[in-house]
Amino acid sequence: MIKLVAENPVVVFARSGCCMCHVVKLLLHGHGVNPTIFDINEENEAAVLEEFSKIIDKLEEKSDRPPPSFPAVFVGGNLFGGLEEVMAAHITGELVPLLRKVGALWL
Amino acid sequence: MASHRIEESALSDFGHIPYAVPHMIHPPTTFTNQEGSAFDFGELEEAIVLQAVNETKQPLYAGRPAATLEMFPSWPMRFHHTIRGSSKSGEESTDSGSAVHTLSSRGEGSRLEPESPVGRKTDSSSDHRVIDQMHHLQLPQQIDMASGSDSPRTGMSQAQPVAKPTSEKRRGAGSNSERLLDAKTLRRLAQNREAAKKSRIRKKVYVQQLESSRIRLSQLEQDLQRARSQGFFVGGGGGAGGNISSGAAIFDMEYTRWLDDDHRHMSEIRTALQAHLSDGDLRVILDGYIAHYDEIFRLKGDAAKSDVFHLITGMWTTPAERCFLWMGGFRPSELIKMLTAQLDPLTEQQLMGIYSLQRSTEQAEEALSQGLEQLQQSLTDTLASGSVNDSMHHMAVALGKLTNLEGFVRQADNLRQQTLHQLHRVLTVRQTARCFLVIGEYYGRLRALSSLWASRPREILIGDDISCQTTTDLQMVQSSQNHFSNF
Repeated sequence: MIKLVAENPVVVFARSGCCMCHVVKLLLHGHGVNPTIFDINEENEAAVLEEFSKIIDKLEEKSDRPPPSFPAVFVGGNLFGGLEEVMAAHITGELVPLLRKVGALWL
Repeated sequence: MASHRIEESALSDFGHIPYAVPHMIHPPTTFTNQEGSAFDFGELEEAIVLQAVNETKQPLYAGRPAATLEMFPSWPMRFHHTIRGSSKSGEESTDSGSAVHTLSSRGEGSRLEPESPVGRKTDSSSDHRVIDQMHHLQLPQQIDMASGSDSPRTGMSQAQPVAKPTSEKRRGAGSNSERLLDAKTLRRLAQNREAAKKSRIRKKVYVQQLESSRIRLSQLEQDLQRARSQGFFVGGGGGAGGNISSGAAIFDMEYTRWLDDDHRHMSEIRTALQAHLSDGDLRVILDGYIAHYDEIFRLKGDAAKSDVFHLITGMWTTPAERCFLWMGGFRPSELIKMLTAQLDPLTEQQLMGIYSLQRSTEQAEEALSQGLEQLQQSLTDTLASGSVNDSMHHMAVALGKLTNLEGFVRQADNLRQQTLHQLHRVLTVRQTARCFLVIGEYYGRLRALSSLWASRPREILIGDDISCQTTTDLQMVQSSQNHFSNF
């Protein structure tokens, strides 16, 4: 999974058919970003979440973040957060520079 | 009321011991008069006052005539006459005064004998009967009056021979200390007593209603829980004047308190702006206001867990606000649009900041709305499809999908919160303060609009009347717009 995440600038892990994930996709598309999206089936959810925790422990020290849930957005190999974080960054205007930095945006 | 019934049966048990009923009782409607309890503390105090003045050994007797007279205000004329006759004649010679008193009381006695203890016939047995009846009527009283009232009871049977000398003494004392005994004071005291009595009764009724409502509410909630667990789908949310869930009721209460806090914050910001405080001080106040908004979003988040429908249908807001409702609250982009008109002048950089904020909120709103639409579509599909056989399964699936509603309201509130924070970042301190005032004023007016609309005259007016009414509305709108121009 780490490989998957590292290879693509923006990766979204979403529950299949989840409408929240739809919102994340729309937001990112609105910026002209084409994220790599992984639809996770219900039975795989727990396993994937566990993978997330492993990645977080490896890459980051901070533990004050809320536990990862779906949809989960990885930007530049790091777990950026969920819909809330994406939207906050979108409003503050931090999202676009970040996307540009990781090479998700060409403009 | 069950409690009421219990008390009534207790009363019947104690019928022959009228004083053994110390606890508060709801005003019985069977009584001919509502203010039947003359044997309350006010009376006792007054009686003691009179005793101090009279220096008689039977203070309660002296107080009795006035007290008992006021017990039955349904016969005001006669009592006033008697009071005047007894007190104002303090100047007259005692003989003629007492004669008047005795005559009037005797005369009244013949008329009032069956109902009123004031009528003091020489027949002491009838006094007893009448007085017993009187005591029965005065049930809401304190136990310490029991001993105090016993003496007047026994005393009244001997009232006839005593009335003359005591009234004489009272009148004699009256000329010495008019300030305590003149009719005005007595009347005022009586009115105070009656007013206090009325308040006490009203309070009792109110508390009783509250208690019964509370019991009913908890019963309804229990029924609802039971019904839900049995798989019945209870319809009709808050619409048809129906039951409100406890989570919703709690939130409504907290929201009311938040609105009061909001007014306080508004005044604080307004005075701070007018006082031209330093930017540092103003910033502190603004941070407090931002925290105030953070708080309502937190409260809404909690409420969304227990009753998302209450939030998303806007039942917690006023009707006018509900008209503009977007995902359980205000639409951030609309707020920005409203503000830009009020916030001139802005620097180039600020204009850019506000404009980009407006655009990003619009994009976020669009994304959220589309997500919600997708949820609705999915829900429709679930509810529409499925045969009769596996309808329960489909219902379960639908319920699962509904849980996403909470997420949407949560994200919408998050968007609102981020918008306010970003505003604070883009604008200067003073501009932010003005901005918050505009926001507060705007929603205050929107809420007021709801009340005004609800209380508008509904009669069908013809011709001139209609135009007159429209003009007043216009004037109201114009005056409120002028108020806006303060900024």
